Amino acid sequence: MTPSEIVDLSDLFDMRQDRRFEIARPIELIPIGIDGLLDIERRVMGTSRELSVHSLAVDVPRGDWHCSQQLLLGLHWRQEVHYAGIVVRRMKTHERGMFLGAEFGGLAQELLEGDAPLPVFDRDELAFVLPQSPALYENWSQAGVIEKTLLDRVLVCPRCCGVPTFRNACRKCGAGRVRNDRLMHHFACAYVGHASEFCLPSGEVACPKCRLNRLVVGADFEYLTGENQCASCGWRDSETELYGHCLRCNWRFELHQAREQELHGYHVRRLAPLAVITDAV
Amino acid sequence: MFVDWLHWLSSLTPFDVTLLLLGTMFVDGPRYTLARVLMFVWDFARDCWHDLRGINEHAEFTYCPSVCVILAGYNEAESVGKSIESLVGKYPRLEIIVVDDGSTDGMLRHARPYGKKYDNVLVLGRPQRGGKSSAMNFALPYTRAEIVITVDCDTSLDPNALWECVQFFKDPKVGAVSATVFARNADTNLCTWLQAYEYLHAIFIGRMVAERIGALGITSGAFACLRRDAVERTLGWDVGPGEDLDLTLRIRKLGYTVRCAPYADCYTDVPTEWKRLWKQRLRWEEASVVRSHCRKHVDLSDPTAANFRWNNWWVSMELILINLIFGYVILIYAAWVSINVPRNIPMVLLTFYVWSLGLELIHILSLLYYSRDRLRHLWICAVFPLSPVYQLFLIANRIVAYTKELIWRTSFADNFVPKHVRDRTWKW
Repeated sequence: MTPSEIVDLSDLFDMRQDRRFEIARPIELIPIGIDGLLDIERRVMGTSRELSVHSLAVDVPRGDWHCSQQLLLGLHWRQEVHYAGIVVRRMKTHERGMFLGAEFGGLAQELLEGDAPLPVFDRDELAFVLPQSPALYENWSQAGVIEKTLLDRVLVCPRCCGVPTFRNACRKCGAGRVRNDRLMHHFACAYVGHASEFCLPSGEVACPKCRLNRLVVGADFEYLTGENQCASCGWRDSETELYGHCLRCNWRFELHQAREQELHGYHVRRLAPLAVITDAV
Repeated sequence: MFVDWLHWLSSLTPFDVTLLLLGTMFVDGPRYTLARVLMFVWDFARDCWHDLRGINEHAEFTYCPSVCVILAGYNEAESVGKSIESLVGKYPRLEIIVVDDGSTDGMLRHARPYGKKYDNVLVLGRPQRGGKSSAMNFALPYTRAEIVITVDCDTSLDPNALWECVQFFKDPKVGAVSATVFARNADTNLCTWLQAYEYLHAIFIGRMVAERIGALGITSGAFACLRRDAVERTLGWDVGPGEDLDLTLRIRKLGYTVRCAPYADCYTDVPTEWKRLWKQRLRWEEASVVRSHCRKHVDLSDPTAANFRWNNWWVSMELILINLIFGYVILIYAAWVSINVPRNIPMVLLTFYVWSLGLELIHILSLLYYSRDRLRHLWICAVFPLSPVYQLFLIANRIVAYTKELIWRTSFADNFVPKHVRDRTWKW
């Protein structure tokens, strides 16, 4: 950009109070639907004519382009495209195409302004939610307007995506009321029995097989974890299974059935008109 | 040489020949020849009689008690799955308990999916190794089955093996049943071929003979069938090695009988190297006669003992006499021959060899009569010319093992049992 390209045209347009700068840069314009989704197929390239802090004027080389009121503007600056939402205020066709006068604002600008969109835990919904609809972010991400970043992977309910709690539970019925046997192994005679068999009324520990008493844990015997027994259904098994219980819909499911939800944040390259003007001046 | 030998033999008097061949009767194999021949003649005559009378003698599997198979293993990750699969569906009232004895090769991880796949498979694991005996004892509290069967993880069973075993338990006096173990890898090399031949004679036929003469005092740990009540009365297996022999003797002491199921077949891998075979047999022999019969269960041969029974005395004396005493007698006999007829040692050895081959042929004939897989067994028997040399290997092993056990009690230092257990166990 050479200084000759920058012309102060502020006194030519009475409607605009801000100081305007003639900055010619390649831009792209994407129409935005009423639901906030981008209409990529109707994307059009153009050139900025002038730029102020709150508004801009652009030339579109196609007179037949069907322009919507709200547009997403992508402006090439510093080897990257920076985006802003605009609302079209004036539109004029001529022999070389179309002239648009617009203000920064609208739904897209709301979405792009403020903090980067991050999923947060909603205490009422008992789930992770984004500020806007996930479909909208997906649409914008596919258009390359915002950049998707994986933040975390969480296991959620396969039914409703609510946040569950997990417990070691019975493999048969999923109940958490599972009792475990505690066995003892006497090294000297290889006897293995329930811990209660080793306890004498006097409180001493003695082997019921070889009658050796005053046994010391670690030196003479070891504890073994035996079978688990479910207090709900009576099922017996050596191992328990991790079961999830959804806090939102109360659905109980096995760990492998849990849905793995990816939590994404979105990085936005927001257009700052003042920075572009400053850079150009 | 052969002509010289014939001349030398013809120069001997009948008394000299008898004296010479008497030495071979001290060897383990030929001592059973007479009993085998008698058994064979009896069974042959009985079968002929039944054929003439049209009596159907086919086995009927009418008795179906509940059975629990215990698969206890250490570092058997590769084979445990095959073993479980070889058992599932082979018997209607079957439960399988797999015990991982603190393996470091991920055996528990390999076994657990079977616990999920089959409702009748329970997989138990322990954090550190405690020995095979305690691993099997660990499974006992979790079964109420009438029959407990121990199977090694590297052992696979014939489809009818469980049925064959349990039929004997119809008789409430039967406390244990000894199954038949065959070598699965007989075709690997000469070492495994000879072991396969030995297993055929010592286990398949040898235990039938031992049962007939009332001297069956062992069930192989690779595949042993036990009445759970009997096992519970003994309070389970003691620390090994030799825990299978020990438990069988303790069951006999309780008054139960031990039977042999010759057609309850299982297959196991035998050592493929001579060095490993030597070590395996040292472990078996160290834990057998000296440790069990001469020390721990010396009451079996003591007529003043409270639980003394003549059939138990016979079991014990047969092993002490034939295996232990005759083992040393052979040594003395060999020394005597070397000193007295040093020039004729090759002739004496050739005589022994020819005599042993003759006995082996008788053994093979009787074996083939009882065999249900004659072609395979005939092929295994083709190694019989080398059997006398193999017998010498086993005798040498036995003498070394007994001597070490008698003097140093080496079985208690065997790493078959983890150190923290063998340091604490009772030294008999």
